Amino acid sequence: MVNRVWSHLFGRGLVDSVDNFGLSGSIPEHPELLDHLAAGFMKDNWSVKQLIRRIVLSRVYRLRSEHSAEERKRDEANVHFGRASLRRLEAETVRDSLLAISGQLDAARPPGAPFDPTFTGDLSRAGRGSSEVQQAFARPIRSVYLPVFRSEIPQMFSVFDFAEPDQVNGLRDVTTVPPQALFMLNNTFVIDAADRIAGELLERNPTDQSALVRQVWRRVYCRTPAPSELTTAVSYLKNSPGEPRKQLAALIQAAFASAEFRYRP
Amino acid sequence: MNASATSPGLLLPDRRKLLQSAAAGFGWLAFQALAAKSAAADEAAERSPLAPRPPHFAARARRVIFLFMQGAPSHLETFDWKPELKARNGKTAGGPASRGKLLAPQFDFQPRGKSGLPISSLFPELSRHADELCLLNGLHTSNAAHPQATIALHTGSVNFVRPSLGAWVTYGLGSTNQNLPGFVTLNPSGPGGAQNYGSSFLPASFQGTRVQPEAGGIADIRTPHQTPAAQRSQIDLVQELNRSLLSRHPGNAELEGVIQSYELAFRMQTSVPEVLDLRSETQETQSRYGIDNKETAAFGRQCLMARRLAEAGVRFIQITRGGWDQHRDLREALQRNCSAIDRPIAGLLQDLRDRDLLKDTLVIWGGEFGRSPQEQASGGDGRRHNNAGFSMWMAGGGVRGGFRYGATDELGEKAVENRMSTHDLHATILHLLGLDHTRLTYRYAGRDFRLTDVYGEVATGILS
Repeated sequence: MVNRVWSHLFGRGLVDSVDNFGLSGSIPEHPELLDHLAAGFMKDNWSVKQLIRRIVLSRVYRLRSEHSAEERKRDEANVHFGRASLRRLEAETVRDSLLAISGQLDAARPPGAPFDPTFTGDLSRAGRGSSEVQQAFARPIRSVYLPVFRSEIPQMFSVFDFAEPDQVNGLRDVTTVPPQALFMLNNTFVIDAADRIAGELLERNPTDQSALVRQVWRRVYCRTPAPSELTTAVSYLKNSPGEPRKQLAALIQAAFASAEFRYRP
Repeated sequence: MNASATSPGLLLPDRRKLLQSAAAGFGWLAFQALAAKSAAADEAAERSPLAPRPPHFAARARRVIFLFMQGAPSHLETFDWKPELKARNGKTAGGPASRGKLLAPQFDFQPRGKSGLPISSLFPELSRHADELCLLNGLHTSNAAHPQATIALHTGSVNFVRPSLGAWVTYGLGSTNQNLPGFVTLNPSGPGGAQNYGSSFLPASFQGTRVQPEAGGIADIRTPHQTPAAQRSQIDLVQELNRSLLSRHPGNAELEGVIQSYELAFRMQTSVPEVLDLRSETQETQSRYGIDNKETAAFGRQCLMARRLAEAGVRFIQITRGGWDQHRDLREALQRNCSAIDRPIAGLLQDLRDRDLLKDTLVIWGGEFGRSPQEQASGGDGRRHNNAGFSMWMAGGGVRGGFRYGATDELGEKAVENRMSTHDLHATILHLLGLDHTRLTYRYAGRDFRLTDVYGEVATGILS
């Protein structure tokens, strides 16, 4: 459990093979730390919240991911957790972030069953685009409240390495494939989110392009743009085809599409 | 290209200039990362990780079409003729592990072709190509559960996440078409999921791209909201942002993969619809694959796409068809499954031969294991799992046609002669492609990894 929580927070467990503590699994890199955390976990009455708090308050959790060439040379794979590793957002987080940033997310827990309890058909056959299943996925609630149908993993989730629900899986695959790029470039979910933000930002501030770029950076990356980024983005806005809303939406979509949106520093 | 630029320390200062001057930009950098890490890659300073690389020795096959039958098709009703099993129908055999009565093969076998290869009546069309087929009757695998055996067949490992066969092949040989993925898997399904076509610790460029033809090939391949030119300049901006992130995390292979994935994605928007569009094929070709028949149309389309992908230069193409787990309903389900694939596969072999592609295309057919000679429970219309003996076949690509290699015991239960394990199968496939399975290595976590771990023996008997 401790190793799994660690793995969720750091992208890699203290024991690399999170599903395998046996002889054929990997050897823990820091066995004392694992024991220490496990003992504390027991002492805290098996409280997962306390465990998470203990870890996220640590220095190692707060290390930054940027590092020098020399640091990299010393520990290329970051086995010793001497810095943070860049971590990919999981499928659910990509979806929730897009919904949240575009102001669509309903953060409340939806009441009742995640799926119409009066449905009487065969769910395994209801899959493949049936309206009940589509409706269940279309609600702008947090992904954690969405139902998981083994026969129908939403396309967005399967593109971004959602875990196969048939199997025990303590660590998801992390793949980098063109379909992910195509999703960010062409999927209406992304296009629509970008367009909503563009509309909202332009309503408040229709003219100042630098200010618009700064707002986009703050929303998508949670930081201010570097001067060079600001110049690039403003010139992109100027040269983009279409009316201002379309131009701004294209910039926002580009920000979503860039790797920085999908990686936690 | 400046030779001194290959030193990572010297590369950084004029990274931008270098990227602008190199045709494949970041692909080349990704290759550098790869070359730095990999023992096998230092032989050619190619630009892209998918650039074609020479094999270790003369290859018999240049590409692979793997027809994966998920669920474990019965070898006893298809490609492993056991007259003794027929004779002893209804008897019991073996120890307590082999519970249940023996069940005779449920379909007739006939000698086919000049070679007289025994193939069951389930494959009338494919049987015409008997002299091209190399039946592998002595296969065995370590695990009798679908998930483990499926993953083992694809990756060589039952319990660890390892690169898949297609990823290793693409890593070893690159691909001859830079506008398509080097490794394509059509309609993947079944246990194992992405692990079956994943690249694990190999660079991400080598993992299989999932293609679902009914859903337009690859999802989101069409751009609904802007012109190609507008999208190009949008991607240029995305890439500039990506490069800026990469410069803050130099050498991060994942970020290099992201950059590359955008270039490939952009090009795929024209190349994928083109290669999957079957309308340019003649009526005659379509009907050869059974596309004009409801029963065979789905698999036929995939086989024809496989040929088009092969022709376009894709290195490794996999088609998956599930539904072979006949614990019951053996006769009907097998008949249905085989009818659906028989004509398409025969069409594929014929078409490949007509186009002179069969000689260097390795076609592989098979599932994760086979089935028991004993019936499952009562009723006599089903068989249990059997990992001790089963069959696959190969065709084209330098294998001996009209040939039976390996054998199970007289009842078809255990492989006894010229046995081939999963590792032996992998070693043989790599050998046919001109790759030495002991030399195709990748350094990861402090040691060199192989597809075949420390095992694998090439079945030299099947080489033509």
